[in-house]
Amino acid sequence: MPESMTAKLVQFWSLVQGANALNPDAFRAIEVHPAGILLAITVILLVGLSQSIGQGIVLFLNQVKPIRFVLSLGIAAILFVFSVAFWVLSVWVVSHLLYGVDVSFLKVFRVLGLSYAPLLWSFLVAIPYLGVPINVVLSVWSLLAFVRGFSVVTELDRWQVLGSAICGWMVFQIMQRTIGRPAIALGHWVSSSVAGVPLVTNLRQLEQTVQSSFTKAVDNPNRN
Amino acid sequence: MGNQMMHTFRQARYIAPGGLVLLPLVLLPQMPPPLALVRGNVGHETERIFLDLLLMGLGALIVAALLSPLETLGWWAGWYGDQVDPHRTPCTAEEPLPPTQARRYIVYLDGIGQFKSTYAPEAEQFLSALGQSLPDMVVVRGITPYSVLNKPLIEDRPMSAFWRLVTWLRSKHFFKVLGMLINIRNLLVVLVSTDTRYGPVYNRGMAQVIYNGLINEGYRPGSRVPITLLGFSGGSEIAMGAAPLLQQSLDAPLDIISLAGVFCGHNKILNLNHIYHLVGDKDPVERTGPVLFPKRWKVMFLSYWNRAKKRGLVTFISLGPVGHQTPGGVFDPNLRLPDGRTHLQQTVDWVTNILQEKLPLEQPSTAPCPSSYSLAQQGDFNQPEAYPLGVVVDAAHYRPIAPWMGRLILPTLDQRQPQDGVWFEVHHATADYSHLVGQRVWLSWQNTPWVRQYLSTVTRDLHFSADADYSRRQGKVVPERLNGWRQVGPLESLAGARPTDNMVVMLNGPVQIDSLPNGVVQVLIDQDPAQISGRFYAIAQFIAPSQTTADGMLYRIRHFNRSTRQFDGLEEVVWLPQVVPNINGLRPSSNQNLERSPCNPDGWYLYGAPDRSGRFVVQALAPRALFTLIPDQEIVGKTATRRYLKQVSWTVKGVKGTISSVLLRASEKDSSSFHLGDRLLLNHVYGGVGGQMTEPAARGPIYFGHFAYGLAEVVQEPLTDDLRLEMQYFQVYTQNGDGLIACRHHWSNYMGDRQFGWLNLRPVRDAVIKLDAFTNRYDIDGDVVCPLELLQHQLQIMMARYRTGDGSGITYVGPANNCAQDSNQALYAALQQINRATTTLSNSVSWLQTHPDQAGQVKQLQQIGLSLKRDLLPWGTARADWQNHEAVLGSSLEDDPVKQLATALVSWRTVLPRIASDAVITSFLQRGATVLVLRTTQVGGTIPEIEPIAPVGL
Repeated sequence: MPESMTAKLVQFWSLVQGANALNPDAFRAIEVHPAGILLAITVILLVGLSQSIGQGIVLFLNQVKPIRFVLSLGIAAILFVFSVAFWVLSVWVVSHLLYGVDVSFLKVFRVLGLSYAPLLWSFLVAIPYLGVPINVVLSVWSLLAFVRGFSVVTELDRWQVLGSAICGWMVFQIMQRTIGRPAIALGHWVSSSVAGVPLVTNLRQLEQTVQSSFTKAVDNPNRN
Repeated sequence: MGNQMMHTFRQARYIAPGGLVLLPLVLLPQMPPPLALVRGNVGHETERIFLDLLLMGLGALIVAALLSPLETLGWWAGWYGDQVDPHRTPCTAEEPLPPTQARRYIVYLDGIGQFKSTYAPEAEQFLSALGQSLPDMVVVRGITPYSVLNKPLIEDRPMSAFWRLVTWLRSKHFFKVLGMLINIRNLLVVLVSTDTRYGPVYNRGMAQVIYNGLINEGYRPGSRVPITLLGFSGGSEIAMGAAPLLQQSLDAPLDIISLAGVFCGHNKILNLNHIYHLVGDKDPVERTGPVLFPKRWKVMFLSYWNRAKKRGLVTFISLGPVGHQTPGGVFDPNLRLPDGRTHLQQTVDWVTNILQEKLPLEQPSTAPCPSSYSLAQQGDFNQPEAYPLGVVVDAAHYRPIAPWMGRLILPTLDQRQPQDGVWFEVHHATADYSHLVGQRVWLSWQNTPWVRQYLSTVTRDLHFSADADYSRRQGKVVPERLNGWRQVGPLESLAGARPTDNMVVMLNGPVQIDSLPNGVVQVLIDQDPAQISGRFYAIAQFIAPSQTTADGMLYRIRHFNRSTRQFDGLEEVVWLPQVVPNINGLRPSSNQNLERSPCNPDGWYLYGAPDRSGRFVVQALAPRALFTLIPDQEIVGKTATRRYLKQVSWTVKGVKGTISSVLLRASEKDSSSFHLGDRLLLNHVYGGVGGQMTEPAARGPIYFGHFAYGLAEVVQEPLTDDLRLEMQYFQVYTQNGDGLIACRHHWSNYMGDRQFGWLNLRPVRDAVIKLDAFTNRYDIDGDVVCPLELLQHQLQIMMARYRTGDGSGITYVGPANNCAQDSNQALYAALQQINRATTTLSNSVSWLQTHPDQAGQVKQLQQIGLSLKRDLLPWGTARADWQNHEAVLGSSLEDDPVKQLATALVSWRTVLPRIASDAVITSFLQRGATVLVLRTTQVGGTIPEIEPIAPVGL
């Protein structure tokens, strides 16, 4: 048992390394892997966790308590899986409609799930000062992995892949603002319930609250 | 140690940090292939071990970096005790502290080597030396700038045992290098402070720590005792992060002294008093700042640091051959400089001198640079004193410009009255009050609802911002005499707009005479006065110069003869002084060939006054034909008028020196005549000065121009008995080097003045708009509503706000706020008022039934309001800041470029003066207005070096 666990882990890391190196073989491997879906979901879950750690400042600024903080990280990771699933769905629909791609959704999901692998490093975004440029590098890196992975599974050229990504992104945005609103609201409700406070996610607004809390308090010493 | 580990992980609050540590450990095995390749290629065992150690070190550094913001964030989230209450006062003093006589408070923030609340011996030595040299100042010490909890590394924290071990080990010679760990840890905290995400929280925390430190040392908020933050190395970054918040909350002058400081340059330091940056020539650490932090690169010219440098807020001081840390650093008590002092002594001397304001170095010059205005002051004829009062002029040929004229004089602080008012040196008064001429009376406001509203809207405290001070040094004319005054009203801001009392004005509207309780005569007005040039005017032709000197020309003129209606009247000689060149070396007007000007046959209005020798000095000129209401051409039809406005009216080629007057009507049905007493809306746009002496603003590919509204009235000219236009501009104009003030200007001043006016310099298009629906007074149910007057009121508010910069002393121009935008904001406010006035009426069916005669007027009013709004703001919604009357006036574009551009887009038709003007005129034409377009193109004497430039259109 432990041996097979280790073997699976090794397999998992080799796939992730392949995706990070933008190696087409890694994407071809997950496409036909018997546990491909599970692997893809694992990658996305870990990426979700890594990202929420990288952006943990939002939870801190909302003054979330420690236990709830950890739970919030977990919930954020799970919600991220759903969000990726919807995003892959939009890209899949768009590529089908635009370029007549005829590949099953699950295959696309496996490959695009693996293409998130570079974002496993997203926790590094939390590094002070260097985090912001790291974020840019990781975003470009994962976009390249997306292009490579999607072209492997659909055999589209890179411009068609980019077209699918852009149109898919637009569809995804429109969905979020229209029929997806209940889902978004549900996700927000879940996050806020777990965090124990109504979560404000606009960083600029949060920072203004932090800064004005000092000057206002000094200006109005009698305020309770 | 093991127990402590267990304890650590049993506590929930360490779970998240634990996760942070574990995740990279899980991920490390799958480090990217390049690293594995690096390791694989290394042959020797020792090299491999070295590389492994290096990689482990890198991993540890990443983990440490990830953990570095945790203390700050955990503090804010309340993980280490009480949650931060955003509404709680940061003051920790339980009892009011006894007043202290301290002249200044100095807060010391140590460098990144700090690990306990006391400092390294050399820093302690520095502080005690400083304390001895500054006995009347309080040095606040004991602050740990690398912990928002103000906890030193070795005390009461989870890792304190580790840090104690490190400090113990580094005292042993062999492990000395371990001291670097403390530096790295604190350096990471400096990075937290510089981070755009964590920085605000960290700086807020440090502001609190410093605030508490000050209070504990007896500082009283509100006492305005100055504060200096003295930061060494990374302490400078902490100082710059916390300073803006501290200054805002303590309302005290705040300086920063940065000793070999390393900082990022994106803190909002522009409102600080000053920053002194002291660096040694051999300091390698300080030099990393300008390289590592992009906001300190010269190309980032909009960064706060670069803007602060540009404004002279930063003084750089070289410490000579000095390094960073001891040995050899700024606090080294042993190494000596060539002059015999130790490094430490030199640093103490510099800081002491700065704090005692005995800086033995050149202060940045506070004397303003020369400007067109300051140069013009050299001309004697530009001073009001050059024209003595009481000199009688021949009334048959010279008429006063207005019944009431005089000079505004700013009262001293103890002469100020509760209601806005200034001294008024009477230069001319109506016959009943001619005895007041030459006297100083008190000018103030009548007590009307509008005046009360006006005063309450625009009266404010005036404290110069750093921008205002900077602009003053750049030569702009700012209200420097009012700096620090409280409750400055519109008359005070007008009288004090320039450095001296040289504002000569005419009074507008009805004038009431009263007296103050102390017997001083009081003149009360209900409208802003208008700036004028001269006191009297004549109508005459130039014949020829009779004498030319370097100072000017004596010109023979012939007056208009009312009986023959020809220029065959009295012949006499007037004096045209040579005007002073402006800052670009160009004389704003010329006396050359005035008699050959195409405007000479129709004559000129000569504005001026007799000088000490009694000769009439021509201060301003105006071509008479421009005002006669007799157009050269008439254009009828929507398409034709639009084509004229867009294309023909700005053709500048071949028209230099000429004027034109074109009447526009959208249809034959619209009236084409003007009548005595008609009040008209004036819309003004000017273009640029090109040619050999192109003005700096016009050297780029496009020239924006300037937009203003104004008021014109059809009056009867007593010297000719003809009808003519009398025009005043309402200039919404930012502070400038020409000394042009945002206020009402009589045509003689804004256009005609030979020194300050534009007649001879710029192409100008003035549209005089007659639309009864807009200019009539509507007596609706007892309330008099006049759209033109409402606009006039709103423009007066806008001009008064521009004069004080809403209390900051300066107004800047940007895409969202400029002459055209803000003039039209005033129009928008007026239209809103009309809308409010008519909506309530038109909803009342019973009122409409009982007042059928007024129903049509109400409808007309509503329509004009709606159509103007639609035309000027085609995207439907008005700008939020216009609707809410937000007090944001032209802040500098550097503050929020994206937002300003976005705001400008919403009201794009009013961004460019020419486009805005076309839109306004077209809108009025479509509603049946008659428009007289008056153009002047560099009219007057010959100036061959310049050519007209049209403002940019689309």
